[in-house]
Amino acid sequence: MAAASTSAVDPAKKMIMLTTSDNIDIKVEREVAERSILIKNLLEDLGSEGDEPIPIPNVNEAVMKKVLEWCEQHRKDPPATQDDDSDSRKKSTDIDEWDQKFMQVDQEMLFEIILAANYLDIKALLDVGCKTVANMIKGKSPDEIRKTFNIQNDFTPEEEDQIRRENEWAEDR
Amino acid sequence: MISATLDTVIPEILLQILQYIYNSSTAKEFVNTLVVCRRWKQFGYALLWTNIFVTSKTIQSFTNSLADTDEGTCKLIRSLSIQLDPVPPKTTWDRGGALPLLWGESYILDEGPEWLSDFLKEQTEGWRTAVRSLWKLSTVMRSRLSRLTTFSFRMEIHPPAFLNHRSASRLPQLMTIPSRLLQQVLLALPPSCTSLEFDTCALEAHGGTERLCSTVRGLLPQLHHLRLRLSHVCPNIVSPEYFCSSDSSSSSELVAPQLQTLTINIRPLPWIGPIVRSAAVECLLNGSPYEQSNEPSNLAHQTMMLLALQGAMKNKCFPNIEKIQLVNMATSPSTVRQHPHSQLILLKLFDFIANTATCIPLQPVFRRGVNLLRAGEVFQAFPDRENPEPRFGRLAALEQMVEGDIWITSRRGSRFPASFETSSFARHARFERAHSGICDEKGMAEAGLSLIGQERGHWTTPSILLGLGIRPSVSPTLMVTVEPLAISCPSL
Repeated sequence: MAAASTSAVDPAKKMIMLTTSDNIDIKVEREVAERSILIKNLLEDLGSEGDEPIPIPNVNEAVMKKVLEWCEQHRKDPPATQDDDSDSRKKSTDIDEWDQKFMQVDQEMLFEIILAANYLDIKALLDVGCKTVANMIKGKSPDEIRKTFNIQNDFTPEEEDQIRRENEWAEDR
Repeated sequence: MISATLDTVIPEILLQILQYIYNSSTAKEFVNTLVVCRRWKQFGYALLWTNIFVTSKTIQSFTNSLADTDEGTCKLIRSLSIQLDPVPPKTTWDRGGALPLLWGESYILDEGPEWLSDFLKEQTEGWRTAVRSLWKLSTVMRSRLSRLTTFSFRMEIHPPAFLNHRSASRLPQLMTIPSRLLQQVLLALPPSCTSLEFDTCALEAHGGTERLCSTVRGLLPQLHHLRLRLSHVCPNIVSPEYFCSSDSSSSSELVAPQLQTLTINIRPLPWIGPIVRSAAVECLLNGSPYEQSNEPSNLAHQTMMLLALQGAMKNKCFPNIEKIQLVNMATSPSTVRQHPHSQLILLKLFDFIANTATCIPLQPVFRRGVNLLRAGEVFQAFPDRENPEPRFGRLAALEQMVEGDIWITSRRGSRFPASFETSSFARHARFERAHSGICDEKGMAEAGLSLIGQERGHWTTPSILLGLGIRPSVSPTLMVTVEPLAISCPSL
């Protein structure tokens, strides 16, 4: 459709098409989609044209829209550097306000976002997702954790006791 | 399609989530995640048991766990950091006056060799437990810590509020640790251990010193990083000829092909009186009464070590060395005469690679008119040649700064050679540089004010912290001096 004006348009603003697992096409600016390293690499491999829709077979429309909403908000963030890995993890589980609001979704969606971020290779979003879950776990008793995340307790009370004894040396620091 | 839940997320993501929790909660809180389910336990253990930090309070339970746990868990351990802080018996000044063992109380002999039991008889309850646990640890370490790469043993001392020469002379015997036990710990290090920190704060009891140093020498060929702070460290550490030993294997030539950093701190105990002199060490060695006139013996010790290390360098004992330094501490007699209440300490740093000898002035921050110092309290150092502003901190923290932060402390207390920080080892973010011990003047003001809050009456006014008392008078004696390293015998 806008093929004629391709050369005039800033390549970052160029629209590309993604096809989700439930066969829905989503149009999005290239710069936004390129927050995903997977899509970025695909686009580079496919050549600069990129008029073909890109299939994303592991992510459905609802989740993709949510992920792209995050990418839109963070489109201007500096790209992750090599050291980012160690640096970001060093820091606490602080999450910026917009991301916190963004992550106020039901648990299923939260984990869908995390899995999508992992699949699409959007490190910063994966971090935010993991931090959100970490914050839900912190300060809870094992029982509360199991209840919150519907996890089966596969320990006997004796085994639980033994683990606690074995780790008694762990200090409050 | 299975709906996404925490139970079904791929292992990498669960590990990352647990890592965030591990990094932002206390170790004790983290234990809660271990008992959620087997899957979590598996990942959680890999985080909690990689770098272990134990103190006098926790060494006993850790040692028991280590002896009882399965082999898989033991193999997770890569670094073990032990901080044993002896708690001295209360003195009359602390409204205590209790002897470590009360009359009529009988000491029950437990497992362990006789020499250890003899030593423990004299100790306070808490210290007894900690020391015995260290002994027990030494008996299981070699088999249980087969993948250990970094081992750190440290002691720091917090003496009672008031010390004078009379009470101080009694304290050292009560808070020592037997050299023989330390030697046993060193001998138990597995061959996988490449980084070693052994810091007794100069509290080790005399006896078998040359054997302790020979043991360290025996470990040198496997080490990449070594930091020592011992009062009785001797040239035997690099030169087998120094003390004639009956052990014939000790005369073999030393080569430490992997060694990158070597830091030896031989400073004497700093907390008897305003600052201990080497004479106090002599007093520990010989049991002779404390006299203030033996200053040069510490300088002789220093010269001995300088010559030994220089000789080892010349003999190419350390082909890959990047940093080799000797640290010592001395008082400056001239300033004592001028300012009896602001005694000046010189921290001396001998750098064999840069070929320099640096003198860094250090001063305790004083209470007015009280020429006694509570150890672990605040000192000021003037480490920067360009910037005359002092740095404040506890002595141990300032010493580490002078040593160049060759070893660093993680948020959880684990100790590592600083070079680990840039390696892949650090990528798992188990590090957080802890510089809590040092602060600038502003930080000092805050710390100082809180100190005043706690100890009103001991400090005169806040102005002693903010104003006169702690400001460096810009005089040559308070400047750092750096000279070429020249070794000469001190005049005795």
